Amino acid sequence: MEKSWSFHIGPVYFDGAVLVMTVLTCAIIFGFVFWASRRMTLRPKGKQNVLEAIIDFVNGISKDNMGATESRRYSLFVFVLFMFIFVANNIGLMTKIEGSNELTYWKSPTADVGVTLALSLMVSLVATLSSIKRFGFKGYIKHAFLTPAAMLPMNIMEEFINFLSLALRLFGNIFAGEIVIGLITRIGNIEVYYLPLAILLEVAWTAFSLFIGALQAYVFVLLSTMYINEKIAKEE
Amino acid sequence: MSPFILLESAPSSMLGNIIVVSGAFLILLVLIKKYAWGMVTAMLDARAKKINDDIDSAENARLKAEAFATQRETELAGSRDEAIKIINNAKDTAESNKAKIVAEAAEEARRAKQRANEEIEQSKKEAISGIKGNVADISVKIAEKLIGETLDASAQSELINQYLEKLGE
Repeated sequence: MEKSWSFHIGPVYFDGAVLVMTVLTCAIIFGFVFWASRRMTLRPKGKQNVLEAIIDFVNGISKDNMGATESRRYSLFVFVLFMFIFVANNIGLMTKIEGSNELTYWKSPTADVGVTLALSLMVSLVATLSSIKRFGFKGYIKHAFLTPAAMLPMNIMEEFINFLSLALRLFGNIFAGEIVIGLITRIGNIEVYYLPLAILLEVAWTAFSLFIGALQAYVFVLLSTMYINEKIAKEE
Repeated sequence: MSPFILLESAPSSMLGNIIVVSGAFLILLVLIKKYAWGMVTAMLDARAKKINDDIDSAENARLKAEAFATQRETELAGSRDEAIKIINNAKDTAESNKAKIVAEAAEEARRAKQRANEEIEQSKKEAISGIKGNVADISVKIAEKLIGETLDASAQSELINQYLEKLGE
């Protein structure tokens, strides 16, 4: 298990690496979006194309699951969610900074279960609050748990399963990727002539991890929009 | 005593991470909404609107062009009809003119012929009457020469006229 430096404010303990990497992730995303959205033109070119392609892609996911009218209201949330997970998944692949006592200073924020739980929690909150806003509290209870009434235990379980599976799937994928990257660097550390092998393996694994990271961001957003839509969709 | 401690020996930082990530995510959301999202969506909407408008205006232009084409076609057909009518008119006029001219010419020729015939007739008559006088005179003179100037000219002219009339028939 990798170790991370930590500090606490009162009773709450914070993971320093996660904090730094999260802030860095946010900075990268905001920097990119801010930079790409300057001097936008009706005829897109260069950086604007990239931004619009991403927005189109994310909007396409939510439109498929929610329909065109609903997806517009969630497009910002879904876009930021996708960008955050995408960048967070891949940022840890860039390098590996370890201090003494195997302290990690550089890792994907999404390789921490607390982070993915936070994201999953936000999706659940958005879904639940949207449902309450739409149907009222009683309507929400009825809509989410009591249709049909006999399915109440299943529905309650489903809430937690959705929430947990969303978080753990992302965490598992990215954490495993990080672990393997760590192991491959160890190969290079054994003897100097293992280094080419380690670098080759690292290249291959990083490519695979990029693919996994992008895929997991897509899957997370896809499932999030499905869960939200499940909560806000009117009964047929 | 350092404020930093190893995670292994520290209590779980899960709650802290949740707070950090939620906070960071919300701040990112707000920042993007405030500084970029409005522009992006406005641009996307503007483009969607422009594409819509372009499609509409292209449709309109197409309809207009089609209407124009049919109008032109009918006009062309009209002018073709008109041209045919004009040509037919001209043909008819020419035909009737031709008939008139031919008839006039024929009439003119007939009249000229008639006039010529009359003139010939007149000249013939004049010539004959002139000859009559001359022949009478010459006959009398011949007779006088023959008979010996005893013949009374006026008494003989009756006789000569009778003779001449027989001659003329």
